[in-house]
Amino acid sequence: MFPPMPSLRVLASLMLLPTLSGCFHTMAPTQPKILASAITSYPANEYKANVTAYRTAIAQGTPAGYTLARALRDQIVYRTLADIESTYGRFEVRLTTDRASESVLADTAELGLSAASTVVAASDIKDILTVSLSGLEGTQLSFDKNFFREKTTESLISQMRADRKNLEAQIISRLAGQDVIPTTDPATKTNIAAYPLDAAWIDVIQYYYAGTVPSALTSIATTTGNNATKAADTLTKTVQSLKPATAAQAKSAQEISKKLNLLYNTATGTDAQAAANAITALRGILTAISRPAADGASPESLMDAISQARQDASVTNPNQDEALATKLEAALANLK
Amino acid sequence: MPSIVPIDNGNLTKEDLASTITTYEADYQKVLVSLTTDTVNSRNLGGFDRQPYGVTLGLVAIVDAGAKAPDNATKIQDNNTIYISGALTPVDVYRLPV
Repeated sequence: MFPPMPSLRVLASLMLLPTLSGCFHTMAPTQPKILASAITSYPANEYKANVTAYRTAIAQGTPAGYTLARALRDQIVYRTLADIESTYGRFEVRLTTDRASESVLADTAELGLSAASTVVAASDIKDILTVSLSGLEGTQLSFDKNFFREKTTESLISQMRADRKNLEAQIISRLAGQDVIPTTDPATKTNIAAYPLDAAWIDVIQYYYAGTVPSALTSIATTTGNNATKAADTLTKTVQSLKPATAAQAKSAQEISKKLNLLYNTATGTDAQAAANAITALRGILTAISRPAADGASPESLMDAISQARQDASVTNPNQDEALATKLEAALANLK
Repeated sequence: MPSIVPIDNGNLTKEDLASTITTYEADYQKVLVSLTTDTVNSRNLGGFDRQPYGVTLGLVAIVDAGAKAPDNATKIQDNNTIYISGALTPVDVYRLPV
């Protein structure tokens, strides 16, 4: 009978325990006492007392009550955020350490089994070891595939950090700009929606879940899906062939290039008066096609802008802007 | 690194293909550096580099491989097999003087 897989893992764990127990300390420095969880944590009884005080302040229905409620809301949210932040930091380190330890254990057990199977002479035992090795490799793959969808720890952490930062910014911005009741901006006279504690709490819950592996996996999948859709759109546009041009159109396009290049060479030449006139002419083209250039634009950037317009209006462009083509043709017809 | 652009559907004549390339070069401020085929879609692909401002390019000309070169033309590609009027055809690609 084959030995059950958990026994192998337990055995390997026991063998490597002295080595791996020191890994956590190589992943992060010792935490200062002032950051200890007892100081940063937000006990449930304090939270409940603050929420009750918040509700009482709101019930007063007075400006003083709303001011107090806002202060309590901010305090509750910031303390909870700090608590989540403190826990999340440790979670990141543990995620890295645990996953690495898991891999080391599995690798070591596999190496041991592999080595044993080569030195054992008895055929039956050799078979058992070989099958156990395959099973262990499969278990490791299955673990990575089912729990982490074969994503690296770095990519998961990176996604969690990005999602958490976005939500944190949203919460802080709302706390700073929105009161616990609807208000009116004195400058713009526009209404500002309320951001009561309950609304803030929804965001806080989202913030907490943004720091979890399932949320990161979902975000990565969503981002990948969006990128794939964008890539497919780009590909569809890119694979479109050019529209054919006639010999007359080719000659005309070349003549326009010749005139524009002449203007560019003059604009970048040593004759200051001629250069100024050339720049004026280049700017005139852009004004005529309703794409005026910025003050002080260089000849290079003027040519860039005209080149972009020519691309948009090109007869070879499958998505040609025909209205722009008409304007551009008229503007360029005046070039000498 | 040149950008690769599908030029046609493989059914243009030599003259129309050359005109399309020339127009694209002028309008997009590019210069043709290679002409290859996309055999899956039976069409021609152009490799284009950015063309600096101030220098005007001559027209592109495509002739049957081995045919007499246009006067003073510079060869871009020699004996290159591309799609012409729907069939793979060996051609020479030239740049005419401005």
